[in-house]
Amino acid sequence: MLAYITRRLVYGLVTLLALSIIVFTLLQLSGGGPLDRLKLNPRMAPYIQALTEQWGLDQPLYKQYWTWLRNYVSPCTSTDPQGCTSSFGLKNAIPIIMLVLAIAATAFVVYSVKNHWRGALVLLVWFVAILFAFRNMSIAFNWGISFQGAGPVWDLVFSRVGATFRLGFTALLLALMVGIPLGIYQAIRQYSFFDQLGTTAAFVAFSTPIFVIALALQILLALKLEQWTGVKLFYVTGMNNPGYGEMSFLQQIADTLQHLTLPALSIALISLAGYSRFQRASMLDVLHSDYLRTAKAKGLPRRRIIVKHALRNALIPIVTLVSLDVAFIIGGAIITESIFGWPGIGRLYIVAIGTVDYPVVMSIVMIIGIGIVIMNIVADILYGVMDPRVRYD
Amino acid sequence: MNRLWPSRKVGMLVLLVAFALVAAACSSGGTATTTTTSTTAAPAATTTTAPPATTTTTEPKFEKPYGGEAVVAQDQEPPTLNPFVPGGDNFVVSIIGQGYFAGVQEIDGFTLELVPELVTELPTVSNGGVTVNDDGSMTVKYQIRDEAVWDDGTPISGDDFQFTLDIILDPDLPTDKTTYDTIVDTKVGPKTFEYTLSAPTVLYELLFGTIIPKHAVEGTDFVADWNEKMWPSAGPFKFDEWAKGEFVHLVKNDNYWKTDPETGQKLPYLDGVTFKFIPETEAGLNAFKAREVDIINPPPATESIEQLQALESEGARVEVLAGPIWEHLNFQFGPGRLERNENSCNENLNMRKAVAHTIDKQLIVDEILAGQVEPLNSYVDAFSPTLSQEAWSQYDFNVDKAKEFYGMAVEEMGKDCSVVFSTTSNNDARVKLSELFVDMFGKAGIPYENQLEDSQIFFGETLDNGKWDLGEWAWVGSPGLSGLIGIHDVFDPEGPPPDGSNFYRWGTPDSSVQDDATARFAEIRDEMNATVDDKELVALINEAENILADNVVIFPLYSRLDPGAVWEDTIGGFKHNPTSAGITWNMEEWYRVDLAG
Amino acid sequence: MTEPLLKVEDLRTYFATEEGVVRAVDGISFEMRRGERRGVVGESGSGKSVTAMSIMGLIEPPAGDIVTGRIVFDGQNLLELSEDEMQSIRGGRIAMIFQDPMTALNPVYTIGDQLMETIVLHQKVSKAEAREIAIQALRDVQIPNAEHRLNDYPHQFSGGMRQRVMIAMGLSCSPDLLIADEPTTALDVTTQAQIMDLMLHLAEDRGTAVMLITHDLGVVAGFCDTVQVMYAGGIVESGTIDDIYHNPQHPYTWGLLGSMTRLDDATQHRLHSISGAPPSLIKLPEGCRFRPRCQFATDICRQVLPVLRPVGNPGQMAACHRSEELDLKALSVDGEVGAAASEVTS
Repeated sequence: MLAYITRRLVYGLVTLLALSIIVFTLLQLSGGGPLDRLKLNPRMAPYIQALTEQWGLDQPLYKQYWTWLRNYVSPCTSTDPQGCTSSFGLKNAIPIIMLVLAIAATAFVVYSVKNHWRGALVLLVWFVAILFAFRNMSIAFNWGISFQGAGPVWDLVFSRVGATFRLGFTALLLALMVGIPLGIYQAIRQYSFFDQLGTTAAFVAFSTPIFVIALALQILLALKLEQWTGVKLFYVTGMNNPGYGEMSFLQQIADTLQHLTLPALSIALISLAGYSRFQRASMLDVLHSDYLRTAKAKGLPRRRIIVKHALRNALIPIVTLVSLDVAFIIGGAIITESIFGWPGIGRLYIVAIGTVDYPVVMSIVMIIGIGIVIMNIVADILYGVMDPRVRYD
Repeated sequence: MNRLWPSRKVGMLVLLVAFALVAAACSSGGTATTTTTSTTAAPAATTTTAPPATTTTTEPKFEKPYGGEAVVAQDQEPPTLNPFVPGGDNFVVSIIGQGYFAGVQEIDGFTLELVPELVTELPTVSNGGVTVNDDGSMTVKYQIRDEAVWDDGTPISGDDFQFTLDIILDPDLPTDKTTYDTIVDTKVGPKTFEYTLSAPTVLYELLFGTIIPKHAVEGTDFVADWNEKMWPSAGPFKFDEWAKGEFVHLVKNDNYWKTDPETGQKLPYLDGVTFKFIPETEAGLNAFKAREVDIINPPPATESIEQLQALESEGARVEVLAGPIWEHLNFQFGPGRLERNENSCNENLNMRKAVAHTIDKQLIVDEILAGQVEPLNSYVDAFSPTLSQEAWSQYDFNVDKAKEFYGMAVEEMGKDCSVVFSTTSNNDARVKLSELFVDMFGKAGIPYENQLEDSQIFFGETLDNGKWDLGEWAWVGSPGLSGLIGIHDVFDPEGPPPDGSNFYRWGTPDSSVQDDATARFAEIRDEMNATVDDKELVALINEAENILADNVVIFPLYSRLDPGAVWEDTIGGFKHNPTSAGITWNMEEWYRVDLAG
Repeated sequence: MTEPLLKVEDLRTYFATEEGVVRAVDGISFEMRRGERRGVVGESGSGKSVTAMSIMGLIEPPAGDIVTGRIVFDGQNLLELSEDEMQSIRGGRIAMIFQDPMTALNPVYTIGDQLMETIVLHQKVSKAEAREIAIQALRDVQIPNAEHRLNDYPHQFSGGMRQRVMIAMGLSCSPDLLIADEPTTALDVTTQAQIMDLMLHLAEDRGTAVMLITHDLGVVAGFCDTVQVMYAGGIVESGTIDDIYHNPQHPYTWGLLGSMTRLDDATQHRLHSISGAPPSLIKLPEGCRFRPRCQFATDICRQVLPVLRPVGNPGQMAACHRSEELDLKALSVDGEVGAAASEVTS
């Protein structure tokens, strides 16, 4: 198991290196250097000079890449002010230690205990550890300074991660909570009117571009609904209103939900369509399986058959799908965030691409890459927890 | 005395930026982009003698209510709020900064002229604020308003001006030092500030557009500490919160020193203003419809404007103004045009007049801009309307005259003069224009052909090499005399590309037109760059405009639209301003209509 | 005589498909005594599995529906029971073992979990007691180290072992009737015999009646008391093992016997099969359903559907118009019953 994870991590690192090289090269090829835009403004000359020196922009490409890579993996130290606001100290090791502990705990539990509920526990530990790590993150890596003048990239990126998580996980939760039961219900009542309706709706949602869904939701649930009811239920844009800090707890919750609903729904609708289709197919497979017939022949109540015997098996393939989705959530819902004025990482990414702000672009691409690698491994581990047939040798 | 050097620099600076902006705007399909000049952080000044904005009294006098908030939609978010560092030159910074930055000048939204802000009057040669010294240097004096204070009550003093200059000139800071680095001497008083430039330049107008409070900023890290918050305000509001990716919130500055010229009430009226960042145009319009934002300044797409105008019955007011980006028809006078059209007769004045009479500008405005603005009769109209002489109004749309002039041209040139029209093919408005031209030239009996090109090619190659016959693109102008002087650089007979920007090659050494007019124009340009006296400059600018119009060197068509909309049943006192001052220029006068008794 | 354990009367189970109604089981009647070991033989599609599923109440509307008939089990008509009542019979008093042991167990739960589930459900015992019963059940089917293997997952067992587990599961509640649907088909030959021996031995111990569904008359010969032969949704012949093997009254039975390898047959007979394929259950032929494949068919076979009636030895029944005139046991199958290369498929 540990050997397996180690191997996967090594593969992951190689993948990430390749990814960084490709993206780095593409950025260079895509229309001049990152400084072209700055050069239009004569006052930028000294700034350009500084950036050029810091990133070796007058050097050959491979040297530039090397500079970037070296900086990217270097924690900030007090002697290195460029691109760093916080420096590496002993207490900053705590989040790293937490993460290592979480990984070790996962490995231990998965390896030595066969009880499935422990799997959920492991996930919980992971979640808490990661949350804790981010909360206490005063460590920073030298990801450079934004070329468009938005300060250190590390701070910039991590100031946006929270919003993306809030939106992404809400959407994921919505999609799972609706999509999975929907798929299951459709499978149990295969070819019923409801099933046909769900299938049609799923295909419509799936084939509609997200910006159409997003704008339609804005018009229907914000504009029209307000006209009909006379009450402002949902906000079209933003994450919270100014003065959020002074609101009462209930007002804060209301304000959060009023802003969160529409963007989360937009993303959830599309994911939900996918999940329900996938869950339906997976559930149908299981419902037609021999072991389910066995369960029926044993005289188990129908409810127990569905919940215990069918669901557990039907959820296994979903785990992979959802795990990979989580990785994409880290990358942010680029279009949705822009439409709803959501202050997440995806919107930062769009602006960074528009201004060829390549320290920011690289950082975000790498975060998504790292997320995908990690979630792939998590998906494999979860798969093992859920399906005893899987072995990591 | 080398006077050409700084003046050339003025021209090049304005030009570089102007061209960059329009080229960028064209290639991105018409959305004006961020990288504007120093004019954003420090609005270009003009030595005008016009009185402050008291011409606004169209509304009845009544007590305006205090309290309430307003929300302004912005499609871009600045990377930093510090206007002096890279990224702070973003247009949005100046829009938001209207709330808390103050400097020597600001742009009036009614006259589009520069008016004094922190000083009692803008220094000019006429009022004695500017003097040219015997040694060839130039001294500028500011008299700071007595009542001007920072939001913490500290008076704004000459020390703050000196401190601002020190920050700008700090070699370790990435600030724009242009022109400031020619300051050779300063004199600081409690309410005065005086500086001497090594040589006269009208660029003094651009200086000290934003003043930094010494007492708050001294001893801080100027680059790291002021990205996400603001120093004490000298404007009507002060900084409250910047929720990254979401909004910037400003709250009322209780120590603001201005009063409403109409009612005599203390300004500002509102308790706070929020700038909400909504990158998608459609989403911004939806937010406006949902009244989540009260004021919006969307990109000038006709559909957006129509959507907004549809809301006027529900209480919205839409102001569609002509912005400082002006589109013009132009002739190539260099040899490159013959590669495009061997029957080009651009060197013949009658041919150019024939073209001028052929164009139905009203039809163009009706078709392309849905009749939202008036056609342009002079480029000066676009960004300094009070100084315009409407010099091109002599060329009315008249097919008979067009035919007559064309006949004369053919006779004089001894060939079948024709027109080949080139512009960018990826700009809808320009494609539409080329379609309209087919008909217009057909009616005038002038042989005509369209040869449109991708903007990359048109701006990248065609323009530099003068390989067009009749062309069309836009410049962006900035208010103030410096802006006007700068724009004339693009007709400088001494400045052909690649070093200059006379893409038209009017009067350049390889030009087919070198006559008294070009000679006089060259003289005028030299005089402009050697003069800081506002009256003399205005005379020169007027003469230059007339020369360009009489000789039909170019033919201005229209200004691009700049729409602004407000829920008038909620927010009063809003007046759109199409210049770099933007929609927020008079935000201290905004008030909540719904709070009025 | 005591009342039969199971009495099936005119059972008709039809399935609605897009092509039409499939008459999978079309009016069959039979009885089973307590402790009886009955073989149900036929090709695939003959209705034998559907009969079993009908008894188990596992035919689910609307895809399948029992149209008419009665299934009287120990005095109760199963078709009139509610789903709840049926659940207490299923797995408790009637157990079923399926064909493919590789897929019949849920892969994500341990063997013990799946065994105990049935025991707890039907015997109302505590978990600890259920565990003891489960261990004993595994020992009964001769799984070594039973108390440890209880914690293993199905994939850790071989095919034969899994079928032993299935048998343990089926017999763990000492049912009155065990339906074994092709229990050994997926196993290799040596394992087959072991499993069959084990199953029948255990059933005998518990007094459990066994309905053995198979396409293999050889297996039936070894383990059953009585046989019913099914063809195209109907029973074509029934009787004791001896009746059927030595005095077949229906040409289909006769054909099946001909295709069987007889271990006691010294002469190396070539393996024969019945030519042609079973009819579509949607469009059944007029008259006798076996008629298109029958070499003895006459006009009456074309017109009238024969009913199951007593012929041959006492208690023996067959559904053939010509049973009396044909002396099937005297006829050698060799070379006379078509020579299609394909075996009877299951």
